[in-house]
Amino acid sequence: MRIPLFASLRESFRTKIFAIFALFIIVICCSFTSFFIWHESRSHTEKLLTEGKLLSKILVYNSRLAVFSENRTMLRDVVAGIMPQEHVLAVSIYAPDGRALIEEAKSGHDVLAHIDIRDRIGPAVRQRSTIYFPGEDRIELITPIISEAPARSAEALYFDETQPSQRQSVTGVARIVLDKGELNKRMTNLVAMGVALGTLFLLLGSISAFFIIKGVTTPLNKLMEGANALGRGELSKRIVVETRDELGRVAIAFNEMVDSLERRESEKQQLQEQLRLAQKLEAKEEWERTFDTVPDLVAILDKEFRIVRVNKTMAERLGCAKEAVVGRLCSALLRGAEALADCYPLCVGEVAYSAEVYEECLASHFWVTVSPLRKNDGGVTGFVYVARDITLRKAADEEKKMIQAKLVQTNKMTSIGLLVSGLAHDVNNPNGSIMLAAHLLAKSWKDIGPILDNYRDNEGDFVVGGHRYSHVRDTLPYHIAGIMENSRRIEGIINNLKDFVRKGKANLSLATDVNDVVSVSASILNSHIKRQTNHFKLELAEKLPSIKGNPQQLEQVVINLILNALQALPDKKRGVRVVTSADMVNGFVIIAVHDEGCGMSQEVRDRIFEPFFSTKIDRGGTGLGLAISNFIVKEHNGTLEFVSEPGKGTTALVKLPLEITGRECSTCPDELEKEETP
Amino acid sequence: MRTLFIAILCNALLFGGQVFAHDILVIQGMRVKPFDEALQGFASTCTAGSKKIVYTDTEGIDIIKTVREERPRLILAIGADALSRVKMIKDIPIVYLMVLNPQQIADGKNITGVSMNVPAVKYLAMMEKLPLRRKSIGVLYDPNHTGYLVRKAQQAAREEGLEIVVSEVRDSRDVPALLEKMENTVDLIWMVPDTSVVTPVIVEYLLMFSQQQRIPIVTFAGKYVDMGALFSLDIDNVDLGRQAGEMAREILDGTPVKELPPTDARKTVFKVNRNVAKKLGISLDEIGYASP
Repeated sequence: MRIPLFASLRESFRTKIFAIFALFIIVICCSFTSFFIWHESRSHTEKLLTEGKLLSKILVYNSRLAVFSENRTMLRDVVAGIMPQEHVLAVSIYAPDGRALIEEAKSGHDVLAHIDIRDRIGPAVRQRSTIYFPGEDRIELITPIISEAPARSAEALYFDETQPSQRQSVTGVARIVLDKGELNKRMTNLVAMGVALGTLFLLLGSISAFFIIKGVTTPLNKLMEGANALGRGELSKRIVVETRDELGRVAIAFNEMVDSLERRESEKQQLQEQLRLAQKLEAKEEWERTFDTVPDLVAILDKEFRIVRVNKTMAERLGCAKEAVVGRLCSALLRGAEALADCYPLCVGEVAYSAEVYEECLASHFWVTVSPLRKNDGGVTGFVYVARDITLRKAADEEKKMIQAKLVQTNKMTSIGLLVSGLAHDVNNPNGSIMLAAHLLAKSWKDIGPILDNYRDNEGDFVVGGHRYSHVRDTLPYHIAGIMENSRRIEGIINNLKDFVRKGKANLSLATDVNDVVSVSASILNSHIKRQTNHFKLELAEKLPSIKGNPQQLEQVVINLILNALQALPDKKRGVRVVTSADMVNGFVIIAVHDEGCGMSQEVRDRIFEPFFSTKIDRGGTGLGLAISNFIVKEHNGTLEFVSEPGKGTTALVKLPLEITGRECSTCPDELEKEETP
Repeated sequence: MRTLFIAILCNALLFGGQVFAHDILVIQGMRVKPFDEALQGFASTCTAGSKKIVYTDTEGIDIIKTVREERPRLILAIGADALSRVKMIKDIPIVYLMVLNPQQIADGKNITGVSMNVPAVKYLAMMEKLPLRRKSIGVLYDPNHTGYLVRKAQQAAREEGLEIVVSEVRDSRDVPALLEKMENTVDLIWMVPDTSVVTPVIVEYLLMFSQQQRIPIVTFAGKYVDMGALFSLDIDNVDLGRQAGEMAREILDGTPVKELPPTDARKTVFKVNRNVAKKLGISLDEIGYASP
């Protein structure tokens, strides 16, 4: 576990230097104190030894004659001169053979006992110099007493020079025992003083070192702060130069370096700015190229939907210069955008808004997306208007839909074909029977009528089938004729259906009077008309040119249209008006069936020619009438159109060309399809 | 061939004479300055060709054999050692130098020379001038060594009216005791060149005794005057050599050796220690000693 204070101190340069200094001072103190103590100890020992040697020399010198003559009285005098010396404990003099000539010791010091002096004399005699034996509390010095041997010849006595013959001889040995107690006491004092001085020096040294290091490291710290500031990017910061020494010069150099860095930084920023601008410019150019390359109509709008910028495509489509539209309202240029502008504010702040728009001025469909243009903080600064021309795609979609519808139609027709082929057979047989029965009935009435007239005349009027015979007699032929006519119609319908579903061919080249067709149809529907309205009116154009076609088929068309008109009437007060006319300019004969019915919704209008689509399924409608009618009209190269408004009635317009192209039309829907497709 | 013959002839003429040029063979006992000075003095008066052999430098040399080989006309022996080495030679004249007591060493008919001895009378003449209360002079000596000297001195003293109190030293260790006995009987101690007495320790003791007892010491060598003796009558080494040189020259000139008896040093050097004199209360001017 680390203590933070210590960790910070350990990482402090000042602490390290101080620790090194302190260590150095401790080492120096210890070394000097040890050396001082060692030196003093040695010096004192040396001094004691020197003193001892001096005393020994004096003793030897003074005792030479006494030793030579072994005069104990003289020896005692000599020894008495040495004994009073401070450190001298004992003095003794021996003959070379170890015989004691004199032994003197201070009272209380039993230093002479238990010593075999011969062991010590031997080395001293051999070395001819003082030798000493240091002990715990004393030093013993053994000095040989040397005398020069007498001259060999009397002549030699005259000369100053030492003759080789004059050899020295040891005449005795002097021994002095010195007290080390005083020395030890001094040494103790010395050690105490040394330690005290060392401690004092350590303290003073540490304090001095602290202040010196503080003085040295303060500029370093400033330098470090400066470096840190530089590291943080504070280039404006400078170090205050207080001295002219090395640190001061470092500070000046540092400041110059920071100046240089600041200059470089400034230059670098300028260069970066230039580079950034260049990049920006390049990016802008690239962006603009991209912007202009986009095939969609792109505009950048401000918050008020005013154009800030448009791309090349949009400018070209709008037929004006890019700059000319800047500042104008987007809705003023593109009508479709007006709606967007209205509804877009609801979505501001949300996601992009997209819608399909038809631009009348460009006569194209567009998929328009308006996206908010945001700043980095999310705030909306404007909008991006992107309009993609989907006209072609839409047309393709429409075509696709139509093809799909036709496929459905074809499928239905196939089903109808199968249905009709079965139905025709089942209907034709009973219908033939009805037709035959009606003929028989008509023939029978021709025969029965006079008989019954005769009976009435004879017997009076009578009741037949709940009605008076006089009434029945007038209406029955009509009923019989109606049966025959309707049977023929059924046969015709069935034939038409058979023609419709089979590859049968209808003769469309018959000269047909449209007015006749209308009249016949009205007459066929007479009873229906009377039931449905009181205001049925035929407005047949005079001198209407005939057309080439199939009257029966056309009758069926008109009947269908009149029936539909009648069924649309809510009551008898509303009327139906059938008008024929000729448009000689365009070469059409027009049959218009106006009703004052309820009208049709757009949805109904869209599906009106769909087989089996009926709004009157519940009232017995089959949904085949208009499908067949439309088919028949198209066979005649005409058109069947409806103009309707809900609640205001409907007008069905059949436009038939005055001349048929002359080609026999196939009843095959596939072929029809081919014919219709440009 | 002729060239070789001429070369040999020239060589014989040039170097042949030198082969026989050593008239004197110098045998020097040891290499010390006084001997060299004496030889210097000798050479100044006797210029005959010589060859020097320092005995101590040529350890083990057979002097007799060398002399036989060299065949000098004269042998100069410097020092007692040298004299004792050549004393066996009888057919060649031998002149000695720096010998204290030649008679004790050799006494041949072919031997003569100059001894180191200063005649006792000269000493006594100087001593007489001192204020001697008891007219008694103490002498410590070993009869075996300096008996002959002391006897001569005693004889001379008596003639001068002085008494010489002698103490015979058998062992150096006895000197302090003997001196103590002399303490109150002598006015002066005459130090004679006796190896039993003149040892460094004894000399020191003597001089200390002289100072303590205020008894002046007269000595034979100047070095003891420096140590504390009152005065000395020393020999002049060069003159000694010169004296011997004269003798040698005469011998070489044909004078028979027997006509040239051994002599003592003719010149002495007087040396006095004024400080010692002053401490002993002796006024040198009063007693008529000339300044050295």
